[in-house]
Amino acid sequence: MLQSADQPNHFRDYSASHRDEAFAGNAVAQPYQAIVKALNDCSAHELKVRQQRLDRAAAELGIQFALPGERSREAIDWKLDLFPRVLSAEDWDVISRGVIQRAQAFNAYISDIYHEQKILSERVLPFELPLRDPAFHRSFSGIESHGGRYCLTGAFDLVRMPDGEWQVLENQLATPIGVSYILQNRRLLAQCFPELFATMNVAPVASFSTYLTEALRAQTDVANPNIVLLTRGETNQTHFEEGFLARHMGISLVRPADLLVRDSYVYLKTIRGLERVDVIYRRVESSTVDPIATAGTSFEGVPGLVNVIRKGNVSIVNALGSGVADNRAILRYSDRIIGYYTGRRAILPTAPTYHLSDHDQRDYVLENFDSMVLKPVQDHASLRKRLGFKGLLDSPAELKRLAKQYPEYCVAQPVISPSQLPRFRGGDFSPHTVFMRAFFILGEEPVVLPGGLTRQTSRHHRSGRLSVYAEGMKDTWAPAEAVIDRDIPITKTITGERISIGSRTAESLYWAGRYLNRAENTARQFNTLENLRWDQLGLMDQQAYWPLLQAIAAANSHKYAKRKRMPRDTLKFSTQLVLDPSEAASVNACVLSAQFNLGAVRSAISPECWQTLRELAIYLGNQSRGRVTRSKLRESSDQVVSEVARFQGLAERTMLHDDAWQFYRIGGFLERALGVLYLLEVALPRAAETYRADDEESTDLTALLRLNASLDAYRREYRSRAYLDRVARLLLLSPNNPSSVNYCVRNVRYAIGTLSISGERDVGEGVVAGIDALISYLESLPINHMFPSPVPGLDAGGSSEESPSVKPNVIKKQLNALTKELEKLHENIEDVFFSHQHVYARSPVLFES
Amino acid sequence: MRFKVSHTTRYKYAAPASESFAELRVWPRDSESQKIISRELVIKPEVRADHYLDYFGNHVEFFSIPFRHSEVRVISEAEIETFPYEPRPAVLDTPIGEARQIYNSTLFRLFEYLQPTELAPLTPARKKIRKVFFHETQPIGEALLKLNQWIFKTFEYKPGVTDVSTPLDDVIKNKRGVCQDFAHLMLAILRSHGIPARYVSGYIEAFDPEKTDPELIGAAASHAWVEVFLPGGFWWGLDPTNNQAAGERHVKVAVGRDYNDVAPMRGTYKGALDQQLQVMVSLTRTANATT
Repeated sequence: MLQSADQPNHFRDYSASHRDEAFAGNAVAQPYQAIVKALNDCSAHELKVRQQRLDRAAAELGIQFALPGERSREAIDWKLDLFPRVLSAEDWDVISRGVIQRAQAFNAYISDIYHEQKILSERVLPFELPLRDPAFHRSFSGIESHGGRYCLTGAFDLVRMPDGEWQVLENQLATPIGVSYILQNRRLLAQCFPELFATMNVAPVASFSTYLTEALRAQTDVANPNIVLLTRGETNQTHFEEGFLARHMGISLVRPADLLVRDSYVYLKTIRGLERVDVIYRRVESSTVDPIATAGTSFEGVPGLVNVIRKGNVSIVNALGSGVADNRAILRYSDRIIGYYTGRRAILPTAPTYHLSDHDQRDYVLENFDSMVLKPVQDHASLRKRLGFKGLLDSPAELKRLAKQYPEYCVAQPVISPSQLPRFRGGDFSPHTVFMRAFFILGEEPVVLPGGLTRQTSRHHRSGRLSVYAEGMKDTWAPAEAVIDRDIPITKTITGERISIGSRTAESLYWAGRYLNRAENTARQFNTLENLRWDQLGLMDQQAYWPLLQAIAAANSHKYAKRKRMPRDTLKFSTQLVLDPSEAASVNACVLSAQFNLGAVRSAISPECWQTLRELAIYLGNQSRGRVTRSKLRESSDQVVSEVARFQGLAERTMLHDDAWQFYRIGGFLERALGVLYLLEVALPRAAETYRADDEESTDLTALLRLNASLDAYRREYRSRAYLDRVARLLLLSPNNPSSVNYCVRNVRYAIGTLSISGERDVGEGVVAGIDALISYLESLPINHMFPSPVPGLDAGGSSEESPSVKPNVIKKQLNALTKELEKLHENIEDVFFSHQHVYARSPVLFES
Repeated sequence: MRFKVSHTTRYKYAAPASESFAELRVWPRDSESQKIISRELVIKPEVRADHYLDYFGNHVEFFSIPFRHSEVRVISEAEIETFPYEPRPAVLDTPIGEARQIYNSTLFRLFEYLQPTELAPLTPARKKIRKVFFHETQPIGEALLKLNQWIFKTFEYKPGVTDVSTPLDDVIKNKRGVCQDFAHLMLAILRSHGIPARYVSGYIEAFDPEKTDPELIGAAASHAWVEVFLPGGFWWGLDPTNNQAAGERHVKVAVGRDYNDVAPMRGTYKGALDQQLQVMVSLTRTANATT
């Protein structure tokens, strides 16, 4: 190819090896001619600028999709090279036919293994290989998959050998990652280097997610099915891939805790009620979907799900146990498997694979050990668990140990030298080895994603295995004319209106609201008492304040609440109240619980909030270590009060004020109302016992106001000393005092009223009616009767001589009843929005005797 | 013999649970040694149960209780007729070496019963037990009964010292356990010597009403023993806990590779972590079969 003299040639010093796809000798290979020319049309500076632009855009994606609040170390390190991989029409023809053929064969294989096992009884391959596979779960035997599709979608890892032959290195039929990366890479390159796309008619990749949606849709007979993507959302990688796919496909992203099995059906729990699920796109390992069906797994998963699948009441994609096709021990027999099930010769050969339990093969591997890569038969944790293998099986040393101890769980593949492509780095192109993952959908009309995920190998390549990161990726082009257009009718999504949030998110935020409020409350009350005792009251006998401290303990369901006398070791008691993380009700434990709840729904809160909370939790963790002193306790609770306030402010300012946010508020207000009531239940009857109207100043009552952050409010409202009835009125009924029960309950009602849950299933109606009843009950409390005014002269014009009779028992009873109703409100919220018990429970009746 | 079996499992929760789910394997299976005449399952609170046959041919029932409850009771009742069923003496006389050759020719169907499992790993048996149980020329029947007896004599039956999670290592070290441990131990020894064997869960009649034999162990709850695959296709039941071959007084419920495949009840519930489990099994001989 000729270049004009004044045009740059970025490839002049490029030293292509015989493995290079783009350069054969001095000539540019046909598919790459246009690209090379287009790149040479740009100056060296221009290329650098484009690569920088790509890097910036990629870095932004990495940040955008990383889990909020995570360290950058775990963030997605996204690198896209500007030199794309271009597949020739001939190559693409072989790849697409070969991928579909192989997918169909292994689909039949999965079905066979979980049913008749004909391929084993006919001795087509050694039966011990599949039977020993840790991914083969007997508990999934006999389960039918809709349309006989056991691996509806999957991938194969391919390499192009120097002679131009494409080989399969591994099967990836369980839950391979990569589609989102392909789609994003195309978008990034098209945005940052649109000129490149003028060189060729590139087959688009974006429709793959639409095809996938259609294929999932076809996995059920239900019209307009409800499809969910089931994830555990643990790593940034999966968080990105699955979040992206779910959004592109218009389906809900759910975790096991979002699903519920009822009467042989599986439902998605939302704050609008239960939504039946028809298809589950599974991105979690089969053995963890149901703790009942699989022995020895932990309690994650959806109990009873396998039974629903077995009954055919929900489709799961890919079928449970489809990982048996990824068993590396059977790779050696791929050609036989393809021949057995399709009756044809394999289009794509498989890379040589040796199984170490076979003596001859093992000898061969040992003789050529330096040119071999060891791999376990499966990557799952289940293999390590079965063998009791301590290592992670990700280093050559550990794999060697595996090969020695358990050769039957180990295979070897010769180190291969697949094709290379130019990679742009530091202003130059240099050759770099590449791998490719090709994706397919085995629907009515099988589809192969035109292109694939091409990755550049890394020096630190994990024992020759592919990892998504590697050393960056390449956009991969298939010529549009080589891709058969699939005329798949696209169904319009009617369910785009699913705006209701999941119950799990709502519940987590609700509890976070409650725990944070409780932490702040306890911390503030503790501080108030400490200050009262030491600053204001001087030598006041501590014993006199025990009832109030006890009331705080009661408000926090602390075990000291029931003690008559003050504990001798008040420091210990105070530590338990503030710092001790093992005391379930301590401030520290509450902050940890709030963190735990929010940690599970991190995408629903802002990174700023998460960071604040994490810092507070770390601070308290440090404070609780070592010797605890009284001043340390005061300092800690001071910090909690101000940090929680900061959190509230940040939440108000940085979080979307949506339904999720409302549940955070509902939790907070309910907790505050309950906290006030628990305190009053103990403190008011006590205060009434010792109360004498003609006392100059009731220190107890002043303290009670302070404990509820209401002293200032009282002074503004009444401009008088503390009278029992007025204190009670302010803390129970005031519509303006943020610490009054009435204020809190009204806010709960308001928050529930704003939820977008109206419509056919307005589940919130009952709750709101309940709250209305509660408010009117509260407002009609016989305050005058409970707390007869000590100054009738002022209030009613009577004579102050008639000493009013205060009955502590009556007060106690009334407050008790009120607390019970508030607790019932919590249960009601829980039943209706979170656990969906109301479907079965009779509608709760308020104020039953 | 004809028996009436009643197997009650009761979970009592400290605080009401909002949901319970469980998979049951408490439906005795038909086999050459027994016939199921009638079977009934009662779940309280009342819910429907789904049924299927698992990989090993066991009856499995699944139920869920989706509403608040503080107690779950599962009562499985069946009427069963058991028959004498013993291997032919010629089979028991097969020398071990020959038996192993026969196994090799039918390895596909026996493969899983020769593999280590989580509860019956082979390494502890291989490393910790030095005794030689099998000689090439020894008749298999004799060798198996000797192994059965050795476990019975060497290990003390002691309820409460072990549970499902107790590793086989500890059982071997402490020389005590329950029927489940002895079954796993025997499986591990058999499999590590190339003799295919499977785990059996079931019931046993403690007292023979017609004789004054000593009480058999394992009647209070589910019992466990093993079945060895004999040349020719006979699964021979051996009960190391009682030092005898399984007979008419053994009622077979389910078989599998180890306890995990046959657990009578595996479930979860949502609620406070405090629960009480009570299992009651009764096996009563009814009027002799009229047929």
